[in-house]
Amino acid sequence: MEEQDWVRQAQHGDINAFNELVLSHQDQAYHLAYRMLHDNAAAQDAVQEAFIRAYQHIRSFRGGSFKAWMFRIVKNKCLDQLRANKRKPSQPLIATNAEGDEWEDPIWLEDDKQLPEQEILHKEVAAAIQQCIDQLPEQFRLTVILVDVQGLNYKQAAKIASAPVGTIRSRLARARVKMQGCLQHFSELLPRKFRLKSRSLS
Amino acid sequence: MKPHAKKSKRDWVLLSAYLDGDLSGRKKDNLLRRLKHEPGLQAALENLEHVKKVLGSLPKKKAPRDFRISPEMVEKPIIPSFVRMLQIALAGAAVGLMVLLSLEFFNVLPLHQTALVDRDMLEKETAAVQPEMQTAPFEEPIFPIIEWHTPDRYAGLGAGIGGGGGDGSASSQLPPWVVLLPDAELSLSELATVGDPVEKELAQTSSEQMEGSVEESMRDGTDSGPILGIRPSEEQGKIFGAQPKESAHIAAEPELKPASVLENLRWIEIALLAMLLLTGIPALILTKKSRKIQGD
Repeated sequence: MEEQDWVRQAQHGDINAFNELVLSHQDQAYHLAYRMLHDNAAAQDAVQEAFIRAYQHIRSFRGGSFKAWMFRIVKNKCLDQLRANKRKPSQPLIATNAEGDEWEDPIWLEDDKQLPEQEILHKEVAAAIQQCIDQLPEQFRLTVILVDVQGLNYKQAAKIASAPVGTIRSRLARARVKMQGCLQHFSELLPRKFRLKSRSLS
Repeated sequence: MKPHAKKSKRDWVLLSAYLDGDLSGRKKDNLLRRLKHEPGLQAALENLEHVKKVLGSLPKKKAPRDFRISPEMVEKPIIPSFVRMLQIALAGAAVGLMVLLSLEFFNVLPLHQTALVDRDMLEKETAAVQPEMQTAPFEEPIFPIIEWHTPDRYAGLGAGIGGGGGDGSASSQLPPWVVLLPDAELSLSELATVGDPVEKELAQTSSEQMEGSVEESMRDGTDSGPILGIRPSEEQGKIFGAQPKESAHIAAEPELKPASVLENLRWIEIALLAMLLLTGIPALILTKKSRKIQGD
């Protein structure tokens, strides 16, 4: 059965048909939410609420890409969550070393005794990249995640972000320049092939 | 040729779009030409490419649990949502206001008719009272008219000071309720001693009444007093004829009922309008927000 059939059945109230759609999109939806929020529990809540809301309002879906429609709901849930966090900022856990200096890498909490060295390095790189993503403004963050992390094209990203393609193009360029500046701080962590040329930043 | 020239925002957008294959035609040709001659631009493109690769290398996060939904999770609450209640209140207020305004516009409400009937009755009764007043032109009113100096309209009757009149004989031609005062300022009690006995009596009566009303007006600070010819506030707007109390009753009574009903109607309209605003604005904001969350 194709996605459109599941959608049609879900629109007639078939919850099992809708759950088929959930199964086919939940990984990508969670990935988007996690990259946006950088918090496992918050990302899970956002995705679950988004699926519930999608089912409650599936009759308002007027065709087209179900994935784009679903991701738009996930995106809105994430933005709500980020705004709520801004209103009620929580105290972050800041790791310090023996000298009392702040650690830059947040993966210290994870137990990496069992992981091979290469994997630890990958985790550190991923943490550094995520830290740079977190520093971007909300809309830039969303654009960069949709296009560069999720691999969507400009048109799909525009649909999910509810913005014109021109805006996506501009946001993406600016987000990449910002990322470039941030990643230079972690250049030692990055593999040689990913190291940036500093002169292009001017 | 600008090997290390500062890149503009437009350059970055062009490079970024070129990187994603979103550039075509003349724009792409121009950029390729510039890339050949500008090493700085070439380096910028390489760095953007690295950023894209770095971001693409982020591991894909798998869903840590099953997000499938159950019927219990999607059950709608029995109590209607706040937005729904606001929308219902808004619709109710709008309909109520529309009905009231259209009833008023098309004269369906009997208020105007009642007002017209009352006005006809008033005109008829006033017309009945007026001939009586005309047939008895010198009938004594309740309050005497006090004229300072010599008014022109009594000059022909020889009652003016300095106008040739003045022995008191001509004053008998004046209406009995007209009291003429000399140029000098006299107190009201002194007036009682001027003129003939009838005038004295009138002046005495009026002085007592006026002093009383002057005192009252001085107490509440509303009226300027009878000397200036302004009636006390409670007597303003009333018709005094042969039967002054009855006429005043006729003049004041019929307009009271429709006015109060109309006033109530206005208050209802204002309340409905306020309700429209108070429910409409939050409903609009919340509905917009809800649509945004749903992604419509």
